[in-house]
Amino acid sequence: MEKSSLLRTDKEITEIYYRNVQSVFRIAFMYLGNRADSEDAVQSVFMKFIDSKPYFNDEEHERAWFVTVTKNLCKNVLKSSWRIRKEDIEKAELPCYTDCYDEESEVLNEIRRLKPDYRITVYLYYYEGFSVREIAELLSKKESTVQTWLARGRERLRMELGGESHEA
Amino acid sequence: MRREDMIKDVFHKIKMSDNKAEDILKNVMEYKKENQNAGNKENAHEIKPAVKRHMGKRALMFLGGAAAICLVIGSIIFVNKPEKESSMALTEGIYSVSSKENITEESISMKEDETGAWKTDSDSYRYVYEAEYNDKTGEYILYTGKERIKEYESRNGIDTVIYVGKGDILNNNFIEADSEDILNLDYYSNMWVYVDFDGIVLETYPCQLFADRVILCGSKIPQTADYPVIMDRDNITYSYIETFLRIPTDSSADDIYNTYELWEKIKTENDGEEIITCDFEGAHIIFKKTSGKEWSKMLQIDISQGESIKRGSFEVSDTDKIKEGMTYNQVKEILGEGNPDSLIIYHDEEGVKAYVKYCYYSDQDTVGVEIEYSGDDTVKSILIPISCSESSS
Repeated sequence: MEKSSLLRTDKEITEIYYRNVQSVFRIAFMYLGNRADSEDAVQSVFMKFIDSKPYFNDEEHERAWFVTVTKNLCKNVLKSSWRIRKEDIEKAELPCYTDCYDEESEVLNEIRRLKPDYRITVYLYYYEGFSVREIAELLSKKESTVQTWLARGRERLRMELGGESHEA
Repeated sequence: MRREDMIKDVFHKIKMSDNKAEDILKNVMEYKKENQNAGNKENAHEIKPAVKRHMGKRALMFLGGAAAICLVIGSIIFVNKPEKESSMALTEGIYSVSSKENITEESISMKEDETGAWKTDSDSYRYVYEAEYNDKTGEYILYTGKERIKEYESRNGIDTVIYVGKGDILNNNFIEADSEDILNLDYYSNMWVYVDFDGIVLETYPCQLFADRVILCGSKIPQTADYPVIMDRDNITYSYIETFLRIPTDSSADDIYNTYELWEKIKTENDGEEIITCDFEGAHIIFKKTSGKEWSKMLQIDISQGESIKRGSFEVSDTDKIKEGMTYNQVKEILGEGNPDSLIIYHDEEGVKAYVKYCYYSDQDTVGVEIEYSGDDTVKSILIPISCSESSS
């Protein structure tokens, strides 16, 4: 079956949606840095999913597809409105999301201050559990680049946050 | 709590509410239904926004903006269609159209692929295309390549933009930044860039956003010269590179000092070789004149005040010999000392930790190693091994 001809039932789409929606949201948040834009991005990603009807070999493939599409979409958003965001991000203070407390707010703020590339790399590595090689494929970067981003992201967080350093 | 656990925990708390997730799902399902009914994707514009308050702005801006850019590009191509190759990407120049009404999707040369990446059907990735709506004239303006740079130049540095040949990046394995990186220059403080100013190819070099300046450095800037390029961040223009921001290879330190007053502080050191040290708000940049008339690659040391600096260098292959548990002196024996371009060793004020940072820039690859020492001056971890293998990180 060709990708373009793959039709899914509403139930299947719903399952895929709930399987990926939070990851898509977090990745968008890593790039865009705010909740509202990230929610917009989530919708756009799943609309693209509806449009393109991709065929997935397995759930890992599915996950990688959503990471890639979210990444590209967010970068396009940033590219299109970078001037506006430049000020927003510089000035914005991070709102507290759920029941976060001071230490978490601090961590999250520091993560947000990382460059987007560092941020997404740290996120994909620590939270999503992707390997460096997988991240390199997802971001279309060399492994050494990802290594560098990861190390620099870690270093900056270490400098800003202190705490124990137990490299994964 | 371990820092990594702390980070992971925080990531976990970044989540969309169940209600919002359901709302978006409803929108998506509605979109699917409408899409199926219409048999095409035109209804994309009719979908409810994920966030209602964004309908008029961001969501619409994004969806509409992306479509508009495609349409504008398409229109421009349609209007300015090359005589022989209608499917070619745009040639250099600034294009403007008064309306996007006559733009057809078929005429665009740049499309999103299935993953949302922008691609063109031309092999000319040299130019970065951008459409901009001028609300005064009601025209869309498309900027490409050199003309875009000129446009910014004429604006006297309103924006800080370096345009990058995306295809050059894509086709070059050791590039670590893409056009989005450059377009978002303010987000980035340390990157590798490859700038293509309409045919004048600036080879790979590190780009440092430093204080209020962007400093570019490389062994081939542009192509034949070997000198660092320093640009005021607000004046990154073609002419800057071409005229007065280059440092000729035969410049003396005094020449540089007298010419480039943007440096807040500059001094020369004479330790056998000519070294220029620039002090930008507590950090240092060193240009070292090596053999002949060539300036060495730039060394930038970003340290806080009070840290001491030692310099040295080592060969790439030598880093394989560094093992955890080695003493500082053992590492030093392996790496040696010498070229200050390569090795930075610095301690914190209490002398508890020391790092060796190494960046090696070549035409073929980019490698780096950061070695963290523990309190007793033994190698604690090697953060970026030369092999860059995941297991060693």
